[in-house]
Amino acid sequence: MSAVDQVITVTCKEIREIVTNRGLAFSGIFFAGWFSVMTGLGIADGDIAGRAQLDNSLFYMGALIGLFVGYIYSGQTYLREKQSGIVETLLCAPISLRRLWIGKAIGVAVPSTMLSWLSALSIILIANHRVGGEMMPSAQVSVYILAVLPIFIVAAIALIGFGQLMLGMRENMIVNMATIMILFGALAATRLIVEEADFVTWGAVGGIATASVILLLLISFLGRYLSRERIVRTIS
Amino acid sequence: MAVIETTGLTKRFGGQDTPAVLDGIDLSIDAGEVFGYLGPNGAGKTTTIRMLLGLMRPSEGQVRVFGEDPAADDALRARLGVLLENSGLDDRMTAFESLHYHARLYGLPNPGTKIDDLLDFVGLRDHRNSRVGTFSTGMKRKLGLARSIVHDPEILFLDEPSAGLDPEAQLMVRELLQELAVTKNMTVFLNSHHLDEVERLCTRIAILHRGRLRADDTVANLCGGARERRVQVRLSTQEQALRAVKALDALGLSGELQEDGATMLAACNGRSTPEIVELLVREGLGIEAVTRPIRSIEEVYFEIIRDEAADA
Repeated sequence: MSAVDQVITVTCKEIREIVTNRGLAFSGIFFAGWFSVMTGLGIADGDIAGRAQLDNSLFYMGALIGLFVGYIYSGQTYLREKQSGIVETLLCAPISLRRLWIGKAIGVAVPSTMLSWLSALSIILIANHRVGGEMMPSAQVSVYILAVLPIFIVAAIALIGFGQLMLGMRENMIVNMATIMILFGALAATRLIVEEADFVTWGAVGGIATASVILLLLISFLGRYLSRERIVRTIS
Repeated sequence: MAVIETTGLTKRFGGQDTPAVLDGIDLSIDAGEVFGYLGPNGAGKTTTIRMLLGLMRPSEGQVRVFGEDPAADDALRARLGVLLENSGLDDRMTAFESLHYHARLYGLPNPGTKIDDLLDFVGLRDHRNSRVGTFSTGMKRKLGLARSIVHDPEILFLDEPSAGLDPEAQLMVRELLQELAVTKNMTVFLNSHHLDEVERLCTRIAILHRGRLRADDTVANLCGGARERRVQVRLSTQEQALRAVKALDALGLSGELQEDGATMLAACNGRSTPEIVELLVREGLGIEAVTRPIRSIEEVYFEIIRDEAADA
């Protein structure tokens, strides 16, 4: 079995688990839906300021919704399997730890990105409905949402997964609480930024693209520190 | 040919100063053997199995499975089947999905028919599309067993396969294992503290206590042969048996009369059985039968554990 086949097998399993788990799927949809509606309704006018607001909303909220949903899903994918001991049996399979990790990250990133895109679409539709206009995101934000955001989300989820696999249960609990607080803080801060900000520039999109590439490089580097023994010894 | 070999296998969870969880374990298990690995809780059984599976690296010593280091060779794992104490099944998947996922991970291209046959084999065909979360512990164990052999492994590692099961489910799992050992001719490494289960299933047994191997032999030898240090002698009369006990006492050996009065259990204290017999014959005693008392694995196990505890 090729490496790609193995990664696809893990990815498909994780996607199926997320999609068929009503509670999990609903929590992601609810979160994405709630913030999309709130953000869409927050765009007051269809003028230039309103368009800038839409651009910024999509720029920030797209990433935050993708990250937050990905975070919820990764908890179920990495942490639950670790807590329940399922991961130990998986580690006995003829698949490298790196492939297992990446397969899971992609499996979480696909539905997270889908929800992020759905949120972006919802924000656009709600904002247009509210102001009665035909506002569309700028070219740079469109490129960002379609091409940069998926890479950023998969890289961030892989990083979250790395932490969840390698840390003990107590450390994971502390990191969980800190992450949730940071994400909520970022969401609140975003609302303030969006109201004041100008159009999203190509530079900002490039910045996120660069950050995504750096994250990918970091993941590639961290991969060498993944250890079956460390995972097994931090199960309980 | 040995398929599993360890030499001086030692594991410490810390630096050189920390006590060894496993200390200098030497094992050699041949293809086709059903090997029982016995020991009390905390003896180091699970740590051994984790090192054999490449989930942990030894602090000292070496592990070889099919001549390879299992921690360094991912492909080697395709030849191994595993059922750990935690069945490792996802409650949210159906029985079929669970087996299918593992079959795909092990590289089986179209495992559908194979999976249905296995579900038949473990008696779960009617629960093919039921979620694992709805299964009883016994059913999960059986499904775990099916999962562990879905790819026809050459070695099957079982860690406490009957743990937490009621007697009926234990029997079912034991029967399945017996059938596997006979029909599939797999090498089985069975971690357990169910002495009865090990005695019934295994051809060879090792006993681990406080991280050290205390015994490693065939069931026949452990229960009645090489390790036995006593011999049972039936004399022609009760009076002769009494004389025999006294004669042994005088020679610094010890004899113990049995319930029938004519049989004596003699502790060999380093002497061979022919030597004991010769001593008694020289005393002019009429010997009718000499046997080695057959003991259960339970008796052997507790004798070893008690001896070690006393030594400590």
